[in-house]
Amino acid sequence: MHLKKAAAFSAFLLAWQIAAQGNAVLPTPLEVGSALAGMPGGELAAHVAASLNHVILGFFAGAGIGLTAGIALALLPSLEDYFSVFIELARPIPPVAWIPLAILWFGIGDGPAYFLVALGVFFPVFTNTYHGVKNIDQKLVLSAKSFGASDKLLLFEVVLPAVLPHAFNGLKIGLGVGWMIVVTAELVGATAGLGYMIQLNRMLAQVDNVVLGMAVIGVVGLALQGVLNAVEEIVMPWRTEQ
Amino acid sequence: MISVRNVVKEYVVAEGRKIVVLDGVSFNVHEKEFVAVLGPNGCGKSTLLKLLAGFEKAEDGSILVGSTVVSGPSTESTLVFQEPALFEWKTVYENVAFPLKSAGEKDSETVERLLELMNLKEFAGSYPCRLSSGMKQKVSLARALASKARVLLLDEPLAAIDAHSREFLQEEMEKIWLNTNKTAVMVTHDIREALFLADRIIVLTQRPAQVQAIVDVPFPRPRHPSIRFTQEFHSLFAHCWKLLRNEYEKKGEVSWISVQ
Repeated sequence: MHLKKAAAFSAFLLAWQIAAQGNAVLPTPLEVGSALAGMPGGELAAHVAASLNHVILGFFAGAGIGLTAGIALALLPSLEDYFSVFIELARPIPPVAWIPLAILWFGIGDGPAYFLVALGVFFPVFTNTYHGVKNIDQKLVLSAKSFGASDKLLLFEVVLPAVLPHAFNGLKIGLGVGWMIVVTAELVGATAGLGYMIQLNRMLAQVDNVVLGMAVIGVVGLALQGVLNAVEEIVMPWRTEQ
Repeated sequence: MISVRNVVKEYVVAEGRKIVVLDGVSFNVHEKEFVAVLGPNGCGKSTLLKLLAGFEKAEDGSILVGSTVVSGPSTESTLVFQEPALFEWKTVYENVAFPLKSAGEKDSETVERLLELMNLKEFAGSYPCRLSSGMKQKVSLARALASKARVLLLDEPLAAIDAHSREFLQEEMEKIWLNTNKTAVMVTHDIREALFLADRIIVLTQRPAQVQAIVDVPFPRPRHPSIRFTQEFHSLFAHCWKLLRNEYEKKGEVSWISVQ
């Protein structure tokens, strides 16, 4: 499996190298490699750290609120009656459309990035969690009630574990969305980060650094998905046994 | 122990149309009795069990377990579904221990005894996804037996199991049930299963279901597997079969089958 992936990736790099040879608007992989080697010490790491900071903090905020709101609205019809309309109204608005307001509210810097990532992560996490709770197998809930389970036991030992697979789907989608949004947010409202680095190098016409920034986003995003998959396996051991 | 009085249950289907599923069903179940409910497909047998469990509400009539009117899920009764509703995130041990945990008890002896009875001890630490459907159903039964419920409601608990294993499980089920002091009501399609396990069989009519007949099953307990080959067993089987066939003929299903 790994061999096939390595072979496909090598073929892709080779095709890219051949296609980009002598091309002014697309650097070759070797040129991107040189850009990486030529980058002043710690500069790339600082941008990666800034983006990771935006994504991780925004992800935790968006995921935390999304999970809580998804569970609360699905379990409490009175809350759902009041608040679902706001969520349905806000859902179609792309996070990018919030950029002007985010800059007005939080100024230039990290604030808008945290806010926009959290917003982008919130919706997939909320939707998956909400539908997970709504569609929980009622036989499980009724059985637990007939055994005399308290509300607390029902929530923590039946509802939440049953909803975990749905919540993790939301978290995985949310993490991907978070990366997409962080780059956009850093293009306009940040002073550091991979999006900022891409934007800066675009203005300096350093296309190899632009592609380097894109490649690093891909690699870091993949690594974070890997971390999330590992967490999923630890949190839901019964699924890995299947 | 259980008193079902003139129970009427309706379902609202498309365009507000109502379907009457149970129409004045009445019967009693005595304490520590095992009663089976037989009836044509779709006549409302499972609905009757859900009403007994308090998982659904009747439009009319009353259901009493002991002296308590059933108005919702209660610890008086527990239902074992046809598809075992196990907590897939809990191990076999944790699933069986759940009713005790719910009651605020930590009675590992009871759990271990039940796992022993069900031959599940070596799977105590496994998740349900590792078990066969027969084993899952055993876990589901063990969990129901671990509960404090005095009434065990069984909705075709062995329906998903192959015919051969089913007979063995019926024998195991009877042994285990005799070890408990629980009253049992089991819905089944299988006349032989009803005859092997029950003290009485309630035969329902087509929908809207009413009690068509109550058949006494006089075999002594514990029941020996060989009773299945006795003349009396065959006679009772024929009697129940005729009662059911009459109902299918009323609906025209038997003539349809013969034409096919």
